[in-house]
Amino acid sequence: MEKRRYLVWALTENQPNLVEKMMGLLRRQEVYYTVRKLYFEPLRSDGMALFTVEVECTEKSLRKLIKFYSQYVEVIDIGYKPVEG
Amino acid sequence: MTEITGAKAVVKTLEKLKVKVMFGLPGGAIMPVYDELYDSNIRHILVMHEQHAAHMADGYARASGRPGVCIATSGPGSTNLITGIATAYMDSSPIIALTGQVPTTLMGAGAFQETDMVGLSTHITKWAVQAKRPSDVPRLITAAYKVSITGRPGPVVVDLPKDVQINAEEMDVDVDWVPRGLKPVPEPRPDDLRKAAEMIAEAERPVIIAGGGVKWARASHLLMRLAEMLPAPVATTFMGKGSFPETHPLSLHCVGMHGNPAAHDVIQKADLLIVIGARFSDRTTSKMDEFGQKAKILHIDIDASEIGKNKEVDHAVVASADKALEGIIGYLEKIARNDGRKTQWIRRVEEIREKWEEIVGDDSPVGQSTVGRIFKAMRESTPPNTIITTEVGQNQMWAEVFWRTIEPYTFISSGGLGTMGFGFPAAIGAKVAKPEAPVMDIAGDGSFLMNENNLAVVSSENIPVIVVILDNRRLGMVAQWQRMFFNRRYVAVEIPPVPDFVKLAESYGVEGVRAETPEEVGRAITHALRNNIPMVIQVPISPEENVYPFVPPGKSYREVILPGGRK
Repeated sequence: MEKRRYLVWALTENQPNLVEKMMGLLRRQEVYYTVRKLYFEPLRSDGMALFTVEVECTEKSLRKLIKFYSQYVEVIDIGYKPVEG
Repeated sequence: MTEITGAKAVVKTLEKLKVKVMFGLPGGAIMPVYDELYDSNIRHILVMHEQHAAHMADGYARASGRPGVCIATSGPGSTNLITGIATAYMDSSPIIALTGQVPTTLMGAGAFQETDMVGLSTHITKWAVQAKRPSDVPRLITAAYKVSITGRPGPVVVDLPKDVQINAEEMDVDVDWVPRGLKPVPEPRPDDLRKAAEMIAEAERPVIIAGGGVKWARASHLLMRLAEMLPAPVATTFMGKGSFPETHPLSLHCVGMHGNPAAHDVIQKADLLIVIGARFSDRTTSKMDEFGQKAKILHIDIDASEIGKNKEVDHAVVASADKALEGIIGYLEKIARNDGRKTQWIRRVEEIREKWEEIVGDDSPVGQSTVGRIFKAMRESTPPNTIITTEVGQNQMWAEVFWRTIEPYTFISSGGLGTMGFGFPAAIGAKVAKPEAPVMDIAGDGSFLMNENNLAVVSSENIPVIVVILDNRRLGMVAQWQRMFFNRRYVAVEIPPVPDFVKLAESYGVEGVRAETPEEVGRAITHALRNNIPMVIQVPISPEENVYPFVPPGKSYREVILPGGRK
């Protein structure tokens, strides 16, 4: 399957170990995922944060990633979109 | 709302959650919590090493289905918990680890016994959090309890800085809070259940493969109902051992690296694999591409991320095993089923089983091996509700091959992480959870030397567990692999002929026996059970004895190695 770039975003709890946890999964499986960009931004309200990663992978690997992230206790909502161009 | 210290809030919250016991070892950074235990009815079991506290909590959880609690101080106390937490994580066991921490004002200063426990445990927990102020404590511990058992179970860590324990704030321990991202247990979708039922109804040669998820959902009775109503043979993964009675005519025992070749044969001939609460680990499937090649696969699992992770499947139901089985059985009761064909299939399964019986059955060279006869004697001298724990290595795999579970949830082992030293402390935890059940740890000499100081715990706490040491003075499984795959070039596998395990047990005030024959093993067990005492039974065995059957790593079921190298 062809690899392409996706922007994955997750609304999360603003916990100090959150970036470590989210990135750990990508680090352990770097044979499948190439991280291009990473943002982590605490939101003003209610102890939440926005985690955004631009990742290069196959669609199948993307689906797995979304499923994994969705199971995390710290992840409140999640979405993705292909990066154009 | 009352003003109390964080330490008091820890104990009051645990009491509110009906925690009856915790396993741990105190130290400077957790002493305020220990001081509160002085006035509490929570039983504290003092361990000799914190790793064992985590394994005890794990054994407690697996035997009871309730979260087990362990506690340690900061720094080395916390890091010693790590292997136990990782063990629980790999096997989806709900334990709550409470760890002391240096005061918040000293964090990052390289303070005495400071370590970043939240950081260290992030990748081996469902949730790792640190209390920032005393009033955080009730909600974090309450949430930790719920997180550990909601959905797929798993370990959690709550890190407690010392100033958070000492300082007081107004709070209410009776809080009901969970993280916003905690997913509720998924309800199975009716369409998924209907389709699953239709697949099962249409199948002519179904096989059920039950994993650890059946045990965590306490769904053995429903598994039995499904198997008998179809009928369909039932194999279990190693983690699923104990989800279906292995004395039942439909049982195919375990699949996997040391699984039953008859089960493998049946799986390869099936047209439908009903995989429940299992994750298609490499140890179960062996060569993934060839696993169940002729079959459609129906996968039932509580964790959506397991669907298609290791093996593509034809249909999935995301739900706990009990809810999925209830739903599927409900649909199956209403629709026409291909039961005639299934009954023919059971006859064929019987033929396959009989064929393999000559090679791996009770009267075969495998069954009549020294170790085979020892396990037979153990089973005959223990009641059906006996809980077995194992260490890791040959002892564990022999237990897989030879021990026959009868009652559900009576087999406990470290399957995912494969942690040597797990079995004895897990047995202690299981016995504390189920005092009415005999509990026996199947050990090797190598594993026992990692945890023998738990004899101090069973002696001082009067916890009557039995340890059977299959003593070949080898790291037996490594030696077996060196024998088979490294041309007998033995390196670092011989264990010196010390200590004398009988004298060692006696030095702890525990009865020790050397049993030379299966009959002597049986007599020693009967003596220990009759007198309700802990006991160490040393059973010398040949260092050359291998575990058979054996599917080498990366090979297919067809390439199984049998006694005499027969394939």
